[in-house]
Amino acid sequence: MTWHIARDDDRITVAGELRIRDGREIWKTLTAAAKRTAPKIDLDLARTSALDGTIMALLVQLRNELHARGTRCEIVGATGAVASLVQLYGGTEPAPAPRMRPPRHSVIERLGAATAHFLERSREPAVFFGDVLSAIPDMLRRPARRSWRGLPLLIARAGADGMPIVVLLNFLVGFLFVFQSTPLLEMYGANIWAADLIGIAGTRELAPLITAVIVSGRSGAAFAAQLGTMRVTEEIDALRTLGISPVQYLVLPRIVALAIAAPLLTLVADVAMITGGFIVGISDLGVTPRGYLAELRLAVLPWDVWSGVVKSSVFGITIATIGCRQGLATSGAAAGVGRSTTETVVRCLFAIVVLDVLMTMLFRGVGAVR
Amino acid sequence: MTTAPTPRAAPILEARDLAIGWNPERPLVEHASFAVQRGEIFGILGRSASGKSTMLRALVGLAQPLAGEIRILGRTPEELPGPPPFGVMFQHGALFGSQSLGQNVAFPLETWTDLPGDAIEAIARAKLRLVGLEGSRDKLPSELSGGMRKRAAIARALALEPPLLFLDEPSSGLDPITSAEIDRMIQTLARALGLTVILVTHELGSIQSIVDRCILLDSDSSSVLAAGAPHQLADSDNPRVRHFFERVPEAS
Repeated sequence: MTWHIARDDDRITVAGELRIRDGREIWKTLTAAAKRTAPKIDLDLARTSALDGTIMALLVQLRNELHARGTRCEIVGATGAVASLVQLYGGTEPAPAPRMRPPRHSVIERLGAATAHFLERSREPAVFFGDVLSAIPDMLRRPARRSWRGLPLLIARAGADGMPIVVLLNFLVGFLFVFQSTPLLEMYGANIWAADLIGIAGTRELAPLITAVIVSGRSGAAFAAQLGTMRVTEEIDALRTLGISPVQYLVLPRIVALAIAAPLLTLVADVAMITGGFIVGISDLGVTPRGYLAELRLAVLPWDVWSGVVKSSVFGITIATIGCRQGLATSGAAAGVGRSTTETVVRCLFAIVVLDVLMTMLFRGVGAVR
Repeated sequence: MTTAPTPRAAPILEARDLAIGWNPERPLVEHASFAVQRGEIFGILGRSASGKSTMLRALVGLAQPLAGEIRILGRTPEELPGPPPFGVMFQHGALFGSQSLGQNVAFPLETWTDLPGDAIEAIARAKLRLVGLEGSRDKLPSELSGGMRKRAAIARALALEPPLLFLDEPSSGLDPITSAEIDRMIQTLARALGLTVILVTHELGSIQSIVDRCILLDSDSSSVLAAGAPHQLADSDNPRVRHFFERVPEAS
């Protein structure tokens, strides 16, 4: 060992060459040496031949800790290069005053602060939604030419580009749904009801829901990432200084795009899901194709399909609104964009399920569905 | 050497008792009052984190001042009708990444005028020529150097012929030659187009070569430390003002 640390009554002597490779051992020895309290303990570096800046940082930290414990402590005896390091690392400056503990708040105070914070956070989406609504009359009065030029592309990206994954997932869900119901249907000799099962559940619930989940992951996240990137590169600010409302130029076209694309995808999803069930019906349950389709026609009413379309339109508007809001609220650099994207998907999934329950109850309440 | 134009009665921009920042209890700058005359190149100077860019954001309406009043052409920002009477060049250009330079410059014209497409294209081409980028009309911002992006951003800011131009650090992060070229371009455009330019910078070269009058912000005292022509500030009695111009560290 090339270093030595010893404690006298009012002095810790640090001798030899102290390097970062021995940092752990040095710190342990220093803190052990400083354990025994005294009104004054100096750190004596007169016999220190060389030391790293890291070790000097530890010595200054020890001095500050002793000071906080009420022990007067100075770094003394340093000469030459060691003295320069002492000065560089603030060892000659007075030790900082010990940090005050933050005052403890009562449960009621913390509850109040949490409520205020929650209300503040709830206000922002409400303000954004208000901005979106108030931009609609402006847009109708003076539609910006450029705002709507990109609409077909937005619909194509959200709709046509997402079609393969929507078709595949909905087909598989339809297939699995009927496949898992097979034993029960066979037990009651109700094989033909496979068509009723997937026809009604698929068009009303499953297809809109699964499509909305896919749209959240694809388009909602993409909107948050696009607008978030524009926010951190000051493009949103540039738009504002050109007198162009980001809500009118960026948000409204995206909301309209998803309000159109999501129902169209849902109609395709209905067909894919029913096809999945159809395959199991004719291969596993012994139902004839003609019989399956005839039962399907009897079971599924037009409103079953339309209720799914209405739901998916609401889902589309919600996903675009959440994605755009999160994007425009992005702060920080690239990490902020990542955070907004993740947050968008989580919020969209939550909102979709809650809205689905509310709309299902509403449709049942007004007698629109059986 | 530049000479300050003769001040006229009605300033193009006026800030009265302005406080800016994020924390009302500790504003970055407070009690800032200044007026910018037509045709001036006016500098907002200060060290890093002194509130220069925040001041610019407040002046163009991107940040709400904590206190005080801003008047542009005699009106508050809320009272200004139609397209803003100013253009802004952001520090890194803030060009729309998915659009070519030509489209970036055409964008405000398409939004605020009913000119036909070919006329807009011709105007965009002419604006890009003003900043020496006529050959890069079809390039995307990602294909340009930092200096070219800043010049393109100036072309976009000038698209709607505003009388007032805000520039955020136009020559920072550039090599000395490009930096001097941008300074010269700003001065030429300002004189030729009769523009008023408000320039946020800490580049001494820009300050001394093109700025007519300036204010020096100081976040330690949360105030406008000094105001006047650059040579007056450089000879100031206040050592902190002098040190800024002499590049002397505070500790000295």
